[in-house]
Amino acid sequence: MSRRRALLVYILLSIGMIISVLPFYWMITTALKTPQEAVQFPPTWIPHHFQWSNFAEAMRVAPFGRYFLNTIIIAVFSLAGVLITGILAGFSFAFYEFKGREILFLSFLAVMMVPMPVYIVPGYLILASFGWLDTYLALIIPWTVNVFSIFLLRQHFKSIPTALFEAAIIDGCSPFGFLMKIAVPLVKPAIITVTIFNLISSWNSFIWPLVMTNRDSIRPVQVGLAYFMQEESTNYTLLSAASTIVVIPVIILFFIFQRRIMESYMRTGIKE
Amino acid sequence: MKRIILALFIILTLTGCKKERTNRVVVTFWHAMGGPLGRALDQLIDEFNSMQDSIYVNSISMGNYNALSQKIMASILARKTPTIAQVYESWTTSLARSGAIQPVEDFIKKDSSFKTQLEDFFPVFIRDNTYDSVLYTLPFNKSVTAYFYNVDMFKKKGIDKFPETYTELLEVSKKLTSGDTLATAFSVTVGMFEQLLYAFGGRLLDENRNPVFDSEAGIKALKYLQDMLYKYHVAHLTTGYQHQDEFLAGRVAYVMGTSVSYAFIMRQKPTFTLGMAPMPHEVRKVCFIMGTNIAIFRRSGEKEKRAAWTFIKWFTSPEIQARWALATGYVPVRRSAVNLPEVQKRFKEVPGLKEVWAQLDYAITEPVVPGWFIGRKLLSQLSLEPALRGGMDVEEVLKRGKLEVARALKQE
Amino acid sequence: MREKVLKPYVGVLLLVPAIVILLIFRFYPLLYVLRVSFYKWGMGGPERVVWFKNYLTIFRDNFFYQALGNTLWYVVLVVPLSLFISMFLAILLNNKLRAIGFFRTTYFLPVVTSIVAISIVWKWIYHPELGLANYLLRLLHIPPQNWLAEWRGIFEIISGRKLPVGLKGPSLALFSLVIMSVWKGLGYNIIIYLAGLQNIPRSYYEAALIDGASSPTMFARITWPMLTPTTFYVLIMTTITSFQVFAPVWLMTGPPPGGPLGTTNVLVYSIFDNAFNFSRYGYASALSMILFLFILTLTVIQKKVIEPRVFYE
Repeated sequence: MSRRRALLVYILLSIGMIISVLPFYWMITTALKTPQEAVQFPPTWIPHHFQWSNFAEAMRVAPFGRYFLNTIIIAVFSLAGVLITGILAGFSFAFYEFKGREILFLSFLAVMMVPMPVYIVPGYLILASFGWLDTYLALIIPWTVNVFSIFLLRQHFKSIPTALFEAAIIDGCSPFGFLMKIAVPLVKPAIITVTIFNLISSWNSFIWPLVMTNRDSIRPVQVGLAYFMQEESTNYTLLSAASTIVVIPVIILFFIFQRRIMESYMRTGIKE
Repeated sequence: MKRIILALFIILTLTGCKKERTNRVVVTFWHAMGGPLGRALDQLIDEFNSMQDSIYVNSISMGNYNALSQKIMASILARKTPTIAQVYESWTTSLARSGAIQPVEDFIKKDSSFKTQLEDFFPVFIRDNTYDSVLYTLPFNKSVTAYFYNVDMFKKKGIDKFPETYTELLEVSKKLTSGDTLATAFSVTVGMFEQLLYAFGGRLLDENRNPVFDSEAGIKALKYLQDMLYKYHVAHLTTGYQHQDEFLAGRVAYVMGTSVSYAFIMRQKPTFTLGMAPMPHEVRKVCFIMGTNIAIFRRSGEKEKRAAWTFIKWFTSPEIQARWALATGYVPVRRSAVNLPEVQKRFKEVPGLKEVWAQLDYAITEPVVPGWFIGRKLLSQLSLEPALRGGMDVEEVLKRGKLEVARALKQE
Repeated sequence: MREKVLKPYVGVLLLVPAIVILLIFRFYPLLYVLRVSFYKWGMGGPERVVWFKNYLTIFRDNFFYQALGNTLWYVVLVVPLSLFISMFLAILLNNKLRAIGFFRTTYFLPVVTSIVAISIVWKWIYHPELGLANYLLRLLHIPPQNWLAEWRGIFEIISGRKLPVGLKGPSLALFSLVIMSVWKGLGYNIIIYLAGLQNIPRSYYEAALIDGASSPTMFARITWPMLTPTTFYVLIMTTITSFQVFAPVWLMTGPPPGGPLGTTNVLVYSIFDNAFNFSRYGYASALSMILFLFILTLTVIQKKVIEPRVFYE
């Protein structure tokens, strides 16, 4: 490629990059400004004075520590569920043959086609009848199965020859033993993908916890941030600081696991 | 070592047992009262509990009305309802139609002595608690609307009492506005609009449940508010309770509130003399009732329901109502309560209180009609907000609001 | 007959946990929402069966048509914008240049970031007096706009004249949400396109170059046609997700949300509003069923017609 072309490509991509990154830059710099500087017009591009205290202030005004704790509890337990159900189910679909397997598989597929908003109203009423509203149960249990994860794990399990499994059984190994000692380690990449993807989804989840929770003490981080936005609607520096705090864990995770994350999004077709 | 622990355990359980109301019938009472109002309620409930030993009322606060409504809804679906709960009229229609609550009328029928007591209730409360010609609930914490004003600011402009008509109010407002200080501030609420609507001779709905707030009176009422904001600049818009904060800070001269606001404002220790006045009239004297009622849930056991009825009778008796009202700022639901000595004494201590409570004689409530709470939201969204926040044409937005509210009410 | 080494019942047993959860939380709710849609269902629970009345009411409800119209406008604007911009960027990124991976990463950043944080920043950007958006407009000598509070249609604003009702276009408030959504979703569509581009054999381009073809020609004759399956996929996927928009409306518009004047009210917001602000669970359930049918149709088209042609798994 000619140098001129390359330059053109770089320039265009850079413009796009600036547009992509600008709001983030804006968020972080606003978070570091003093309230007076934030409302200045024309706006300043670099804060005159780095007000780190905004972050501490944000965490003081709303219980973000509590929100983080809630999110972590929800994320960890639902991930545990997803991994357990996903590994077992993926393993089953990959190796076992039984009557009705195809139908079962298709019905799992069918589940993926139902858009999430359809579940909001019935989910609310059903969980209300269980008495689970405003508890961790409503936020964790429905999300302990993720069909995309099942399919991904199935795919990876399929790369292990069935003959290997059969040989192990004949040698006296239990299916569960084979699963844990041989199969699972072999699909580690898929497990990591599933883990990262579900952790990010849990962190970013908004609609479901918005509807299912009422008490501030049980809110996960996005809902907490959302109500914070309603209450401090004109305190831009505080809001930006809070947003930055909420966004950083995922961004860190993203920069470390870029490849995997982009791959998993591509396969699962999920956007929050 | 083990024996000591066992002994301790037994002692603790026994002492704990003493506090257990083992033989009492337990009435669970869900409400949303917190803070000083909640404390006043609990004080009365504690008194009820300690003055007899057959009933124990367990008072549980959900913190706010949103949480309360969600909890009630969930409890019905989970089939674990409380014995009684605080409910809004808008909830009552749904609760009644789904059979979740049992009308208090059932209990009154079996309790002939109470029939005469019913006549002592202010009529507006009987109407307010009647749905489909059945008395479902009884009033619990009711308040009347009133105006609160900064007596000092008024005196400075040579005004020594709060205006009695809305026309006067506008003139007074112009006098009170100078420099940075505006006469008043308000949020966009249906309460604000309906007061004026009725005062100018209009109504929200007619006998056949058709919305008629787009009448001449309605147009006049909404225009009055709009002009205050944009023509005469004597008021500005706020959200939520900001207008009360501004009043406290001395930035506006008067605001609309309820009889409960008095105690709330006084607690903030205002730096000015606080005045309280009844709602102005124009063509008609009118005042709206706010607050909630108390409902009995059908699913509860017969013993529990009877116990709840006993409690409700006690709570709505004149003496208790007088104490409840004086402690909180709610109005007593019994006429005879007003004549009790402690109430008369308070009238002397707090100027304006007597007149504000006197509004109960002609007070009214919002329509007790299914779907009205949707209708009022639409009224606010489609007519009030565009007119007051967007400055749009009053006649147009009221007409639009009427169409949508009519449609919404028909659906119910 | 040889006995299976891998006992089938074990396979079924392994599936039980997943099946139980899916039955309770994925299949049962669908039956439940259908049932509720046939009821008048308020805060007190089911009041009475009304069969199809809820659906009839929806079809006669102005608010429904407004929400439907807004949602359609939203989709019609987001999809092509996102499609073409991401295709363009993907083509640029499909070059073996240094640091190209870095660019790809930054485009994906908005995709992983939570919608809440992004809404906060963009609401600030759209602030009429202090926001970056009006600042940039000012630099370009364009008059400042009300953005999220502007209920006037974009066509009307651009043309500067009063237009008849049908031609006014979506409100600027809705369009502001469109811009933000396109921005957020770019990275995702880019990597889909990259995958599609990488499936085009280099030899095609090499042959074209030998024949002396110019860039536009190569695009029109090779790239665009070979990308057709990918384009269809992106089209359907973006359409399906756009139909479900909710969070930006709840977070950024109003009071009340869905404003100004209901011009950002969308289908999912309508469901939420009816259920949780008005306690009209029956009506909201009927709306949910309608949304479900819309999207199911789209999804079936995507899965049956498009996907087999795009991914060769």
